[in-house]
Amino acid sequence: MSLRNTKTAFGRVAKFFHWSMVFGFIALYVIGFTMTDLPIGPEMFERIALHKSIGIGVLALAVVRLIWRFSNPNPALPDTMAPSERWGAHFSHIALYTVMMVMPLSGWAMSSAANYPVSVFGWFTLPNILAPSKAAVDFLKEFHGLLAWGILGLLALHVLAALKHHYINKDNVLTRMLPFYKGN
Amino acid sequence: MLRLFTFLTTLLMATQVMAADWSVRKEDSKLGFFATQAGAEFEGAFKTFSSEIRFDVNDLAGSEVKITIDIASVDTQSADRDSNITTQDWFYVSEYPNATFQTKTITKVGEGRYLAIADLTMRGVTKEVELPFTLTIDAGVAHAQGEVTVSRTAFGIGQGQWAANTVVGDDVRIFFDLKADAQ
Repeated sequence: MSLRNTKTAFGRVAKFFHWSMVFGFIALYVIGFTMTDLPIGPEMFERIALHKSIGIGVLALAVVRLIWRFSNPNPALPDTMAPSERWGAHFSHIALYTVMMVMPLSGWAMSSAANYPVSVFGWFTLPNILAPSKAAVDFLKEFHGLLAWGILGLLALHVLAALKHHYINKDNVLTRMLPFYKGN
Repeated sequence: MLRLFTFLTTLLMATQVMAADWSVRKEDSKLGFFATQAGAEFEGAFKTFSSEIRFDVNDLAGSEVKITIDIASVDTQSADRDSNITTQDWFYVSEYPNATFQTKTITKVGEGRYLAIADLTMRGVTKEVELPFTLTIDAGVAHAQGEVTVSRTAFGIGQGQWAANTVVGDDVRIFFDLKADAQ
């Protein structure tokens, strides 16, 4: 398995991006859905800080991942797929890349509007991208929360589609993204 | 008795002549702080404070600054945080509504640079602080800027679960940027 993609297989780098994103999303959802139930206290702030740090990590990875995506060949979809299925796959991937960036940006903007600047793992602090505003915080909180559910739906679609390829179409669309899968 | 009275009156007048009084321009002045939360620094300000300033560059011994801060006027651009700051765990505003800064001595340390030794009282605790500041006076308007770093826990600001510095840093930078008119 090479670092770069080929016309038929994903390289190590693309797989690394895919799976680190999976772990990032799991961590973000687990922390995100539990942190808001905590009473106001140091533990709540620690969880929120961790959620923000991981979210910014996902944003950075998404940017690099997109650059990598465009500078590599993309393994072709199976010939058996109908045009509508190809478009469906294509649009859901565009949607996934979009939310990988929009979701963290909305969180960053929310933190900025609330004047709770984002420190990334305590290494450095990001500048605020919005001026403090209660109205903006309220809107972004709602947006971030609703988009979280929207992304869950998108992820469900992504996973179900991969499982359909594997169990119903019996092609290699799922297996070729597995970390140690070497065949084509 | 009359002689003593005359002496005291003269002394009082003399002090008034020596040290000029200054009145702070509220709209052009700022008194605030930088604190850290989860590793990130944020800025806050106190919207309401009053001042008694007698300052003369030629009579530093007779110069004195007293600032009284209305803690409830805190503004960190977050209503949640502002209301939290005034609770018993933090500033305990219902018991200690004000913080005060009272100079003891002011010395010149360079051209336009001074050092104030002052008592800072917050949440009922008084600590001596050394505050370096710069000052320029131009056409009857004084512009003073300074900053001092204090330990919030030394004043008991942040009780119980907040006493640890893991989430809210211990060091808080208090700063001011004041413009005042000569009276």
